[in-house]
Amino acid sequence: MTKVADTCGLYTGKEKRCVFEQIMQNHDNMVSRLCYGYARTKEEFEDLIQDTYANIWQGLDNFRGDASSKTWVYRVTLNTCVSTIRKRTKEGYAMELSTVADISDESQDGLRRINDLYASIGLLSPIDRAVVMLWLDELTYEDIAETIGISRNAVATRLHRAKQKLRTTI
Amino acid sequence: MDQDLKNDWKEAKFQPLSEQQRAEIMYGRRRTALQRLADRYKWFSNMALPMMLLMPFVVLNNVLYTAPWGWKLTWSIFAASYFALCSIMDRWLYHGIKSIDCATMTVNEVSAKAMFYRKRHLQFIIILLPMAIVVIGSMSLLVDMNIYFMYGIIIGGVTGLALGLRQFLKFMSDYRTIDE
Repeated sequence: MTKVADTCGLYTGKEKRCVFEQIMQNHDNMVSRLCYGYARTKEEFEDLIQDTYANIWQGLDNFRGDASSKTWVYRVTLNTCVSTIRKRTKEGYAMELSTVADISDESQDGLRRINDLYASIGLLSPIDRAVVMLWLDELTYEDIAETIGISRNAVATRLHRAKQKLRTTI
Repeated sequence: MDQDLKNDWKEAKFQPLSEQQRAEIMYGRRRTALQRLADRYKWFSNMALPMMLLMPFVVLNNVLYTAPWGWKLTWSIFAASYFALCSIMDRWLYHGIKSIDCATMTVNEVSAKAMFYRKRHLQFIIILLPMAIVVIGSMSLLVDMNIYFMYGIIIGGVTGLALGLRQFLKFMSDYRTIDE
């Protein structure tokens, strides 16, 4: 995984802006995907994204690149989401993916499949949701465990349980 | 099945933030939901302090309050204690919410802390709400009751309840619900 420090040096003064821009450029779609997994409305989705970037901006002062920037951004995004999410039910899930994302290439069937996937993820508990979304983003069990703050075995157990739930709801 | 899910997950391409939204974040104007929540606790904690002095001062010095001096003093001590308790509780919640650091804590820690303070907030309301009703209700014992005072107390009570409910809903909307 690339470290932000590789191209921007220390995260102080003028370079902070450079680091921030780079994070936005590299991880924008990933941040949006995770936020979409927690939001119920378009406004909430936009608020979550902006809150996430505000937390990243403020957190950059203390982030020295000990961890990979990708793992750190995952952590900040999920923390922003779990600290501010609303309870979501299938009925309460009112936001269509097409209102915030470009999926023009997808067939109607594909679009429905993606919407169903997000809706089913939304029915999981916040921590299970985080585990599943990180797994879908191809993170290793070790990285998921480090980001969430639970053991590797707990990740495996939660993921197994969550995948079973997903299979029944999709 | 697993790979299909992963492919579907990555399919959507989201729109990036606008230049204006980026600038708002980078120039520090953006307050996150947690920061707004902490700000609100701080405001309420600060507001309770002058109220702690103001309410007893009004009751002890205003000619409208005709009850015996002992009654007024007892009420004043109770009201001051109530506002002091409000201030302490809000200050404690303010420090708690402020201690949640999304940049350094793990997801599990943040989730647990947010849930903990939300629970405490509800418990504090359960303690403070009956006290508030006693403080406001017992004010009627300190004045010569007539129909105008009755109207005043009823209107004040209903308005206070509506404002209180509105603030409560605002607090809860910033916390939102964590259903772990």
